[in-house]
Amino acid sequence: MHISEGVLSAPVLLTGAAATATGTAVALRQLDNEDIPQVAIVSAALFVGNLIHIPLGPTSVHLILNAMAGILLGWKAFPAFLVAFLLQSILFQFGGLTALGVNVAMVSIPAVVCHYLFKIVTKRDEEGIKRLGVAGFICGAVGIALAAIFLMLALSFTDGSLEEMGRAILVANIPLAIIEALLTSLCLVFLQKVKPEVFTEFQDGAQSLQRRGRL
Amino acid sequence: MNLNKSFKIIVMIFLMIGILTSSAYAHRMLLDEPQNGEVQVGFDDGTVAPGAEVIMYDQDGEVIVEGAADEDGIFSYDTTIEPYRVVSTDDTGHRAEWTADVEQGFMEEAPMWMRFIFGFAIITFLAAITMFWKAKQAANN
Repeated sequence: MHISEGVLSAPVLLTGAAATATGTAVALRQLDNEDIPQVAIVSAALFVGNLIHIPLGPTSVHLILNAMAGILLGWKAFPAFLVAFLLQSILFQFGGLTALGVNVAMVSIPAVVCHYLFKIVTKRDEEGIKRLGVAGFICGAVGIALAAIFLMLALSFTDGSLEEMGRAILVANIPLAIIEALLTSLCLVFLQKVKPEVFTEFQDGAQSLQRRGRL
Repeated sequence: MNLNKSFKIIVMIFLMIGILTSSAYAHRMLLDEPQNGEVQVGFDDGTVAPGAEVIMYDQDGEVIVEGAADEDGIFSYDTTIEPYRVVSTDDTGHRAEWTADVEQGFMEEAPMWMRFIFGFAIITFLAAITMFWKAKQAANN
């Protein structure tokens, strides 16, 4: 899911950088002093989570966790991914530094979509753990699917074979989508049990507005 | 401060897995030094890159050979060729480069756990700076 240095053309790189800059700006505007530890911790989790390999047949996939980040952080997933990917790029040569904007946008836009999707799915039913698990599953899968579509879109401007690229991305991302869906679902149910306050924003519209009014 | 326990637990789990698993790298394409007419293309999780596209350049940046790696990720070329720069790419945005007489950077030599801790230190530092900046902004308003 991370594009290396020197693969993409300048217009694609600039579009990605612009999208990331916009998302980060929106997030920083929303950012409350009290949110910072949460953003930092999720960012640290992303930094590590993206480096974990799950062996899968002849190849392996690595976690992205964008749905989880999106559900917990909303727009603030942008700065969280920005920091995590910047460090991965510098410390592990994972993803090119110039492609940073594209890589961040590719996972953060689906993360924000997941945030709102999760809001819609969990709107009516506040307490149901089952519902939460299902919502997490859907968001986990959607997060990866959207990221894969963005990846294809970014790579479609390079001169490689479109068909092979599409097939390679699908083969790698379908199992990943299932793994992430399960993981997101499990994490949410776990969080609901140990720390239900995380979901206050999703439970009550009024409460959510009150929270925002404070910002 | 809504720094909460469950996040800490999750991060700790990831941290443990990250440090304990020696192969805990992301997908980075690797290109070994070309030797005896063969060059290996793979990823840092130990898998190979079959069908990866390989291009070899001489010192003037002219293309000498180009082609695809076989199913073991090995690209074979004529032993009379002395490549100066080799570039490999695959269909999903991975790319690796090898250049003769270029030494590895400091970061690639540092041990895994050191880079992990360094990363966490930077994240903590950034969080602290942002908090300081936000607090100052709030004080000014």
